[in-house]
Amino acid sequence: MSDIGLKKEGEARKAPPLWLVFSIFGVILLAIAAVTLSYRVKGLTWSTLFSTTNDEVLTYTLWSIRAPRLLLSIILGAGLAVAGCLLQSMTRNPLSDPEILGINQGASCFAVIAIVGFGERDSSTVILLASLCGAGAIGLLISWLSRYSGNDASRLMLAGVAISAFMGALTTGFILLFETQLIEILYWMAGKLTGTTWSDNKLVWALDIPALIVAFLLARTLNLLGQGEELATGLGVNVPRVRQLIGVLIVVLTGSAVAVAGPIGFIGLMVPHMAKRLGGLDHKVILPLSAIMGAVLLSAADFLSQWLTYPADLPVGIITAFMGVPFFLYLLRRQREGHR
Amino acid sequence: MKLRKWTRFGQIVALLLLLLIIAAVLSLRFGAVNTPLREILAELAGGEPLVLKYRLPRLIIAVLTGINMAVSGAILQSITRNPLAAPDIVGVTAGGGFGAVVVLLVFPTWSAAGLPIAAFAGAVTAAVIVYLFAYQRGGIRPTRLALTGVSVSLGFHSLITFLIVKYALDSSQALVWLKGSLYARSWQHVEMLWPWTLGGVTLALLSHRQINTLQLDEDTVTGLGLRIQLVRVLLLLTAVGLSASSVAVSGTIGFVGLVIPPLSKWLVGPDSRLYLPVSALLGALLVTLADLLGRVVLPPLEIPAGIFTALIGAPYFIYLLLIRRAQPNKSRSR
Repeated sequence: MSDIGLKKEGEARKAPPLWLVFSIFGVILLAIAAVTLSYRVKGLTWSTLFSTTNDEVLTYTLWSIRAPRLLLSIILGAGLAVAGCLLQSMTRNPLSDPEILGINQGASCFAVIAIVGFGERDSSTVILLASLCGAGAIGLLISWLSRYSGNDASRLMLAGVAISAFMGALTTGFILLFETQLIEILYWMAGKLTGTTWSDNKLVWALDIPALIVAFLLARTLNLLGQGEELATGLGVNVPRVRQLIGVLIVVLTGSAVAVAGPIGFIGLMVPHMAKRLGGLDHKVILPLSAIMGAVLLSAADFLSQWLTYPADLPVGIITAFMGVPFFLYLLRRQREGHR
Repeated sequence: MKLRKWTRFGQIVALLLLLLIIAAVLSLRFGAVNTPLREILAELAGGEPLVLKYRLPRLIIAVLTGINMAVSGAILQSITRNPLAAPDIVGVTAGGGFGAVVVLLVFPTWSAAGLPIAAFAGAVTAAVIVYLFAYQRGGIRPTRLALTGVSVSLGFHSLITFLIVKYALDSSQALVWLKGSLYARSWQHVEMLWPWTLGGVTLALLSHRQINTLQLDEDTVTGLGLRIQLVRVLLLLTAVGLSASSVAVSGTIGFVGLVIPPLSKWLVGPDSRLYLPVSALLGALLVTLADLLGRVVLPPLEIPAGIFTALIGAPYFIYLLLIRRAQPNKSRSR
């Protein structure tokens, strides 16, 4: 019912043509990228950018600090937004988000255990594996619990909140027990992109690009699923198999994000709604649009987190939470009685 | 029938008091340095004030915090007729925590006296925000109130993290405080807390009749002619004050207000004269035990009490939300 309402609304407001939407966001992304790379870099001019300079500080700032961080925020934004989009389609609940359902906290709990267990050694693969396991475990738990929640999605979300609290308590317990690198972990738990390296980037790009491609390929099936499970089955969709596949994609996308940047919430909540406003209901449009909008949003949030309280560096998760909480309240407010 | 109810109440209260005393003695006895009972008695008689100075105030704060959170949860659940309402679910704890953190970090000079008041202000703000957002014509649906509260809490928590990062003092201490720890609490904190507990609990017990009435459905309540909104607001303020003061002193010890009231209703029935005292005792027992456990598990280290209450409370919350509800219509205790 809500879908029809949305569609009518979209038609009535004469949505702008898609190529325009995509190119506008592309330009915004490029602009943000340019600003992020060049903001307050001493001695950077157009000429030095294009000529090969010998200024080592400049090259270092650009290529070892700014660029990896920017690229990571772009891919994570895209990945998280698509994960949120998939999650909302799968749970058929517009309020779903990996942060709210506790997937982020689960992944970070496992990751903290891995960090504490493996100490200072180069353990990014271990952390990645651990947070994927954590995300997967919570995903399984949620899908098991969702059998109990029936149609009432808000109960499932509250259960997710409780899972978050539980995993958060475990995480803090572990941190306090093995009192090591405390500040870093606290910082990491709030979601941060500081000190990103190229190796983080490689890891995430290698995992997320295939996941995103699979998600785009699934767009048609997602459209069918949106029509209801019976109809989808009737049209030849193997519903349980597809749901498993989507689950794996969500776990990969959120788990890899948590592994390198800690839990960053609300990107997955906000972006799909904005994308649907602009792009209608066709997943073939929404998924790529979400990806690019997520990239824009997270890279912008990261830019803010770097410069808002300069020289202190805010965790980007706080910025997304500042944006996301009012948005969530707005969505909740807009939801009418009986329409879940 | 009525007599039997009171007998059962008496038995349960006696049992809980006994357990609480045992827990209290154990909690005085064990810790980083074990103190045998004889020494405690000797100290109380007037020797070295180790126990008197460090463990006793801590124990009293555990008891007071437990009472505050449990009674606050009981009031909230009764007046909203919502089994999901609890100070930490409806955002009161997070708001209070924010107020306290502002005082602790931003205005460290006027900390001691301003702390509970700032926490109270923050908690009231959060409660008002949650109420405004959750309000719909024709009443507030339980899950809607809870979801709104939870998201407002998230917002306040990110504000808290923001302050901690910005004014990064000793973030380890802030983290411990956030998870609800009773580490290094002194008589000064006891003095800060006890008037709130005394006042709140007295008010709650005095208005037991109103609480009982408010548990009925809205139409009946209006029909009975109780000045319902006024009473409700007063009780709400009482609940907020109880939880805010304990947040100011001992951080966010979560899930106590959620778990205890249904348990005590299950023990002694829905009459608020009976279940308010039982809730208070159970809450005190739970927090004392959680604090004791946190100190003795790995002796030199301390695990905040809030971690244990969250580990117990969160699964129970999920059970309450999903599994118990899925069972074929057993009449739900309200």
